[in-house]
Amino acid sequence: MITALKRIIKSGLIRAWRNRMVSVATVAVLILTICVITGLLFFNVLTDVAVKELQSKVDISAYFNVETPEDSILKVKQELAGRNEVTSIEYISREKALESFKEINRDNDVIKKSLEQLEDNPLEASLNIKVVNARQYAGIVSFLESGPFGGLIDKINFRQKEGVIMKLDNIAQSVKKGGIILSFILVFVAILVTFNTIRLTMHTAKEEIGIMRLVGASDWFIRAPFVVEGVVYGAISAIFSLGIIYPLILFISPRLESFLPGINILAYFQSNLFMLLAIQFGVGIFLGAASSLVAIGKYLKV
Amino acid sequence: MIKFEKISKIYPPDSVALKDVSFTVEKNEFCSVVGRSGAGKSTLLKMLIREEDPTSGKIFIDDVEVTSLNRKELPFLRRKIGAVFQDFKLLPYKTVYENIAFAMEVIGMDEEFIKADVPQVLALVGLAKKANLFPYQLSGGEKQRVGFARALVYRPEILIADEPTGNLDLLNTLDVIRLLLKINELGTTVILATHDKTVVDNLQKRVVTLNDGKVIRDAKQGKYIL
Ligand SMILES: Nc1ncnc2c1ncn2[C@@H]1O[C@H](COP(=O)(O)OP(=O)(O)OP(=O)(O)O)[C@@H](O)[C@H]1O
Ligand SMILES: [Mg+2]
Repeated sequence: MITALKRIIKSGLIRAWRNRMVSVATVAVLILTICVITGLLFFNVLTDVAVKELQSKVDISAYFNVETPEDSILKVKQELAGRNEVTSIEYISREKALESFKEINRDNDVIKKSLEQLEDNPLEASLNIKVVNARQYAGIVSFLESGPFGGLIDKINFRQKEGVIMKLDNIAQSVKKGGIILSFILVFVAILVTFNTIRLTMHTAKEEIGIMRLVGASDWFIRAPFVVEGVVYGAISAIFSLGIIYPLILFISPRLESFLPGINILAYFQSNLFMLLAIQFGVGIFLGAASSLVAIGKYLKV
Repeated sequence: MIKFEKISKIYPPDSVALKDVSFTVEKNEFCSVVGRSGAGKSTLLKMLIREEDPTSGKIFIDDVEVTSLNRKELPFLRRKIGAVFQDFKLLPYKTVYENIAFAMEVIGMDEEFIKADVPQVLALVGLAKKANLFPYQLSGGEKQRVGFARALVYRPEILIADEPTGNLDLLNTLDVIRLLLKINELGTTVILATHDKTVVDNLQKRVVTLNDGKVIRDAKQGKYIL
């Protein structure tokens, strides 16, 4: 059993070496496939980050009637903080609101003057709320409006923002869906091309396999070296792909970050190196081995 | 014991190669099958290793009905039979050495046996110096001798040799005949297909003569007569 295994591996390696000229095409196609798959992975991660980034820019504010005591507002805040979808809540007291209002309108004399004439602070306290997913705002709004705190709330600026929020959510959904569909199509095409290339290079195997059968070789003894050959191509392709992708990321990463701040694909690459390597080698080896297996399967007839 | 029982073969659509052929080859016998080109000699031999299936009839080796073996059982049948093919059937991407070693690897022989036996059998057929060449680098006669070496190397119970001297000069032919006789003496059943009169007349063994797919003569210590 062990001698057989040794023989199979040895003969597979010899095959790969002797076919090295023909297998350039196979390796090239495998590299392409691996790069496409890695690229799609990055694309999906990128859109994910970009969508999250955009969504984090959206928030809603609930304004409380002027006479609402701070205690009640803090209770509402606490209540909201208990909900899963809420990522952050900021309490802006009436004083703080006034301060920042003054700050903003520092140079506007009219407003300054009119504020000075007022005896009381006209601004309402508010809670600034962010959620994981823009779609969840509607739930928060109805919780605030129709819940036990409904009476405390003067207005929520959700209605004005609703259009933008929904649009953003739609875009996020379609980008994600589109990305996944595109990925599937591209991966499918890449796999098809790989299979066909390997099948073509294995065309000469028909005669060999017939002869091997006639001198008494069993199916798996015939098949296995071809699979080993495919595995070798897959591994080589994975190494080459890494050699292409890594410099490419080094090049792209700073440029991408300069116009999409907060997105650092180099950091992503480095922190997920092992997973990415596993995927690349996995894809390469699986495709190489599986295509060999399928390609010679139909010659095993004698 | 090898038994052909009413074997007929029609290659589709209508090329008749064998008609109702029956005869038996005893264990350790040396049997030549002769006949004109196209008489059906190769077809008959191919059926023994199930390279071709008969259209009707049965073939037995000892108690095993060869013609009813399934795919999975075929390798075991083929490992009992050494075959020299008329068209050599060497693995094109393996060297001479590897071609012969492969036949031994298939039956799971140890590396040390392979390392010892392959050079020996190559020397036997006069190809010691060609071990590392590929088939396309060999002459027709050399390829034939590689095929012969491969069939011998694992000491099969049965040897079928289809025109093993077809591409050889007289000297090499006589060598091959001596080898065949020697192998037969050592206990291997030999079936030889040939249309070489010199070979048959030199052998002084049983001769089955085919004509147009039918057995027309079966003689102990026969001569090549048509
Ligand atoms: N694969 C095939 N398809 C169709 N007809 C075939 C095939 N192989 C052989 N035949 C036919 O069967 C007949 C017998 O062929 P076979 O090869 O057995 O002859 P042979 O006696 O070995 O001849 P030779 O001495 O030339 O080798 C021939 O008429 C040939 O045309
Ligand atoms: Mg023939």
